[in-house]
Amino acid sequence: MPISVRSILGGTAFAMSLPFLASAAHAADDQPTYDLKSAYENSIVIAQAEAAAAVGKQGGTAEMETPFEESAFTANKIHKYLGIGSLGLVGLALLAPKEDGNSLHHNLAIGAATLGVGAVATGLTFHYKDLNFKRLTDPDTVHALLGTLAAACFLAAVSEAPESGHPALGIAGTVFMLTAVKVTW
Amino acid sequence: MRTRNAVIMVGSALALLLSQAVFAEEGFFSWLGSFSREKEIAPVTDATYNKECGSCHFPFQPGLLPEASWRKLLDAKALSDHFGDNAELDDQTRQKILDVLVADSADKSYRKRSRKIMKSLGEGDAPLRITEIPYIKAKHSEIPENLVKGNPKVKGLSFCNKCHQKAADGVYDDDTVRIPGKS
Repeated sequence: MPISVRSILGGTAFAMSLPFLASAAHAADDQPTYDLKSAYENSIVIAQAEAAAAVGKQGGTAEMETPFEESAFTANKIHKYLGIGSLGLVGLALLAPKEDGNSLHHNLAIGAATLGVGAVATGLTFHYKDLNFKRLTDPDTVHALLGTLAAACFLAAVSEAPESGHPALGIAGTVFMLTAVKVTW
Repeated sequence: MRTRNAVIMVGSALALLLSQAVFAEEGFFSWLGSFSREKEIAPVTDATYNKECGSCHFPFQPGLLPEASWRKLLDAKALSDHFGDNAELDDQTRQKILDVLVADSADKSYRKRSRKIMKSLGEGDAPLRITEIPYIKAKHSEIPENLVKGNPKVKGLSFCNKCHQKAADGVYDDDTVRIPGKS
């Protein structure tokens, strides 16, 4: 297996684990046990746990009146960071000197592909219910299709490099990813 | 190589065309050049609307229903029996509120969630309740009854801001949901 493919697979596995790590980190902060789910689903879990706790108390209440603070690390946000991060890295790869071998350009491109695949994987995992393949003009569906195309182009560009065709794939992937982000921005 | 480049070019053109279809009403180039985030529902800032409607219930954003729904709801006769309550307004106020609601109704908005609402409705559908919209129903279908209707701190799906902590800003994403516990 080529080293770039191994790097991308490893990086994607790490990217996929980020939402779960974030969820586990929250679990340490809150008394109710968190499952490895989105913030929304976790909210349901917490409310159920509180309801159960209230039943257990005689005449007591299970209040949760602390001010709401939005977490910086949720499944949604990690998906967003991965997608925007892949765009950032591909932008840097375009600017980096184009040298053969294990160059900065090559490593940035591998990073972009990794984050792109991670963004697609987290998006499909946490937002598959938002997709509607009966209506292809649905913004979330268009976002998913373009994001997947972008990641595929990044992967193809990395695997074909340094052949002369790979810049076209990289640029096409950038256009797809930019449009994917913009559609749901 | 030529074939592949042609495929890439056609694919890119299709991607742009598809995204144009998504935001057709706004105008493709104005959308493409805009950096403002337009993911959620447009917030409502009109003081009259917030005072007259918001004094009794959460002031639902215009982008949550199509124009036809707002016209039905703001009909003078309909307001005399507004879901069981008398919510009559003088004609001038009623017209002002109707204008605010119609101007930013879901069918005129290019905000993502308004578009999702419209896409879930059939041609000519004009639901009177936001909770009857298929998209809204689907989004809430997995929440157990005891956390909504059976929860004294929530009471029902129409109390959006009980769980959607940034509902007043028009933000209804998963990250800002916190369902109050049941006492």
